[in-house]
Amino acid sequence: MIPIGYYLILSGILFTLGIIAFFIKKDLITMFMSIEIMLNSANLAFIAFSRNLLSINGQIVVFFIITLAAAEACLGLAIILLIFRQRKTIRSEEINLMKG
Amino acid sequence: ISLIVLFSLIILIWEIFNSRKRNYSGYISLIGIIISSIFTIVFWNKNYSYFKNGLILDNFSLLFFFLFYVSFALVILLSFKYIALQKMNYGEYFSLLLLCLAGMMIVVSSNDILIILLGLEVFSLANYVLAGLKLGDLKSSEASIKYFLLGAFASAFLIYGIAFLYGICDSTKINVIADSFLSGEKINTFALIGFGLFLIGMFFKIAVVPFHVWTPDVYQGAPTPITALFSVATKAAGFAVLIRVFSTFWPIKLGEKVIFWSLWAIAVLTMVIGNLVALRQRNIKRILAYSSIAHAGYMMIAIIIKDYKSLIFYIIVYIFMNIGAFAVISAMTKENKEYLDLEEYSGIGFKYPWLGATLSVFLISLAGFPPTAGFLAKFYIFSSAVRNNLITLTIIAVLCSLISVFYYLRVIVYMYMKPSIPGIKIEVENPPLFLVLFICLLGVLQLGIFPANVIYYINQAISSLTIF
Amino acid sequence: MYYFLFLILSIMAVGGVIGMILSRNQAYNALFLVLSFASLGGLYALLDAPFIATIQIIIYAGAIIVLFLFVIMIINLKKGLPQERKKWIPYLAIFLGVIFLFQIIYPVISNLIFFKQQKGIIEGSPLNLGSALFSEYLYPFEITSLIIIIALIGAVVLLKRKGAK
Repeated sequence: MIPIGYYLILSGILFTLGIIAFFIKKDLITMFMSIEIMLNSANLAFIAFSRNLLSINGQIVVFFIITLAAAEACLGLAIILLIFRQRKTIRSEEINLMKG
Repeated sequence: ISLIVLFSLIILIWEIFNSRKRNYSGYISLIGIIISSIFTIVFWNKNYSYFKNGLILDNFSLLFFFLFYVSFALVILLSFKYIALQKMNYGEYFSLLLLCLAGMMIVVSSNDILIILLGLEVFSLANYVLAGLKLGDLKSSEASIKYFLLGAFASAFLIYGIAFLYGICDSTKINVIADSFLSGEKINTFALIGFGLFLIGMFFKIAVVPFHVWTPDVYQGAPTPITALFSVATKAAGFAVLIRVFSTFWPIKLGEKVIFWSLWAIAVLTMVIGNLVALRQRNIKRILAYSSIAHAGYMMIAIIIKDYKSLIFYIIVYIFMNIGAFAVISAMTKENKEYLDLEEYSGIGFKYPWLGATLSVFLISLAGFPPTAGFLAKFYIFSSAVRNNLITLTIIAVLCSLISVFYYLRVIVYMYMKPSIPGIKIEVENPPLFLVLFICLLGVLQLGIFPANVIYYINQAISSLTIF
Repeated sequence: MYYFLFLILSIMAVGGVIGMILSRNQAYNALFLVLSFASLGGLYALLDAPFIATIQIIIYAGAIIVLFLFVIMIINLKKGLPQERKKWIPYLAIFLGVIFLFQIIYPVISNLIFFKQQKGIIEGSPLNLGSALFSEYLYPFEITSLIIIIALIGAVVLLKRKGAK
């Protein structure tokens, strides 16, 4: 079998990729997708630990996180649509009315 | 008895269905809060815990329940007039507020990180929507998108931190983690990382300096009663979680120095930047946003020296001061046009003496002058900081509060010294608002002069913290 | 055999994410995401969590990203967004990311040997997951219902049209 260290490394890589994507990408939807990736990498770490600790608590927590991510996704997309309807664009640069 | 707990949550949810009607949903939500607060009184000294420490009804959580009830009741009172002016729809506004209250109750009353996380999500989701509720205005949708993205970003950190904390021990209970933390000799680097990530997530929520970027824009964009809610209730919930975690975690020997100095740096940064940037703000909401950041810095000091009694006292005082200040601002609204820039506040002191006077009292208390509670709260924290020989920290803190005095007084100067600009007419007859102003004034002055009885309750709360 | 499978799936996952970062067009991003989430589902199966694996694939790769595709379809930006932002931001982000990555990965590498594979199989089947869910974790289960209610109310409130725009 594979020691879970590899899984943790993978989840670390995914998490950092999510952070990098969050800062690089300009449009809102892709930034939102990068948040989903980060949540997924956290799930991976959870399951790796639950495999290592031989208990299913980790998987139940992942189960809750997935429902949480789904609810957040639905709400986030609603807000993005609201922004789009008002401004006809989702480029993150344009959304800085309140500077200073 | 657990029925009572569920009953209080059910009340909140029950409000949602009947609050679809247009006009009096606000009153129903108020009734709901009163009923649930009656139930919490019944619980005061009996420490119950359900769902294997998932839900703890000790004094600590009950005290915070009361704080939330008070702040939410004031915000609801505040928003009656505001909604009519801004033509925001009634129904969902109050139901979301109550759901947000339910979320905070969950967060405060649990000893299990998973439930804290879920409760945190409940009330931050409600906040995202509430921030964007002023449908017509571009700014409020911008505030909500910014708050949403950074909030989701923060909870991703939080979840990743919990994953590592889960890694070192099988369950997500705080005390179980604490024990494995102490005993864990070989895997402490893991625990530190998890704890660090968890803190990063929490600091986002409390808007401490390195993570405060979203605060000014969201405070400015969101409708005023909601901003009051953000600055008060969200911070109180965040600090409640920190108190709970730190009180069990603090005796960790491994990362002692690292954590101590990082917190120290964050506290200093928060105070300095919070105050300095506030100096050159024109919009009054942004001034209050930065002042709330600065206050978060003072609270951070209390966390470092582990003196939770003065921290809770500070939170209570902070609630009254801040809601009062925001109440006056939300009073300054005319037919869906809010007066937010400093110039518009000039001369208000004479045109509406009542509003001007109350605002100046709140600002003085925020700055921390003797008669008001603000001074006492800061005094407690600073004195305990000095006792724990953190001299440099207190000096910086005192300097920062001096700076803060300047920009608070500047608002008062604008109100009284500058000539008033014609054409600023606001509805004055607003009974619920005056009730709020009166309560906040009472709170600020009463706590300032004889805080003894409040301290008594806080001591009970602290004592109950360590039981579980 | 496991190593081989693990390597393929992890390459697919990381490749999907990198593809998403590089590509401009949102639709491609969403499809790349499907690839990486599905491969994550496969990894879960490798980790003795069959129930979670199926949930992951159905809900994540299926429902959520389809939601994204709907929104992208509604917004349907014609061309990809020109990348005319300041040049140094992406490189700074990558640099910081790598530092952050190192902080997380270092302890894992340092005590990799510690993670010797525990023997014994845990049953991630729906049976005992479900039973645990309703016995020990009942309270969080109720809270998730609150979360879903809020998401629904929020979505409806924000997007309800007040008559013709």
